Amino acid sequence: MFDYFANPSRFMRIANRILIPLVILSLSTGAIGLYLGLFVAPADYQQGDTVRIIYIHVPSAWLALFGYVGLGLCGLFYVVWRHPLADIAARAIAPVGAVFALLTLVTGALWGKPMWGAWWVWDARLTSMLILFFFYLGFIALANGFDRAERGSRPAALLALVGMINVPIVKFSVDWWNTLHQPASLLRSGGPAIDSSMLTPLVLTLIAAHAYFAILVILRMRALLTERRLAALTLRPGVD
Amino acid sequence: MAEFFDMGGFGTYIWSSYGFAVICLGWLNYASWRKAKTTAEQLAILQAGKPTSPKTSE
Repeated sequence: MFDYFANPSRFMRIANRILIPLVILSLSTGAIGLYLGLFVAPADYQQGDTVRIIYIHVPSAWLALFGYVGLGLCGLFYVVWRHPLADIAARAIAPVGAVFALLTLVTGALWGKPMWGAWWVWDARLTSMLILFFFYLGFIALANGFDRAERGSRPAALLALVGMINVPIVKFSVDWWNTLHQPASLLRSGGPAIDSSMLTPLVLTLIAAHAYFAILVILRMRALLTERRLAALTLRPGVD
Repeated sequence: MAEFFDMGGFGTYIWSSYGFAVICLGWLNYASWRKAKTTAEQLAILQAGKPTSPKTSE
């Protein structure tokens, strides 16, 4: 199956076909989710209206983490099988994941200040998320730090793999340590611990964020693949 | 309406969060579309010239 999808042109044909449905999915779930979250859902009994930050904070955090799992898997495929599509996918995921990680940190600070009284605390969840953001930046720097882009692919893929250690730390930091950050509300044993009036908009914005992430990654992969073809064409003698 | 934007006194924090999200995601979207578009255009220009170049060189 991997061989089937690993053909770049076949992969892009499939990806381009699902691009428009993804745009429609992202816009519709995002619009309904934000409407329900901002206008319909009640304020939290403890946190008041600040809970509405959850509809960007949690989807961003999920995507920053899932994006990193994707980056790590691409790193594995690249290191083991040297498949160029894994490198392209990793290079496409990294900046998108980095922006989602930054968004998680900034919206978290904006939520932390009114609720905890501090923009930032060196709490296990916050610190591991910051490290995740630095791993993304490190990947981008390594992948693009060479004259020929391909030379950076292997060290960057190795870095992405090393950073995978941090993924379970981010996820379980709230259980392993006594953190100021609240524990998981969605993916926990015993089911979600949120009332359906807040759960519905959250699930919708989560779907929207996943679709949005996929759109951006497809677009960036398309650009990177075209860039590689451009480089191959211009390097070939007699073409220019 | 003013009550809605005030968000129980937390409006500054909530709207800053949403504003930052719009700026980040909007910029990322714009940059990604633009890059996909410009590279595709460059490739089209190169490929349009391609079939003629081997003939002219012969």
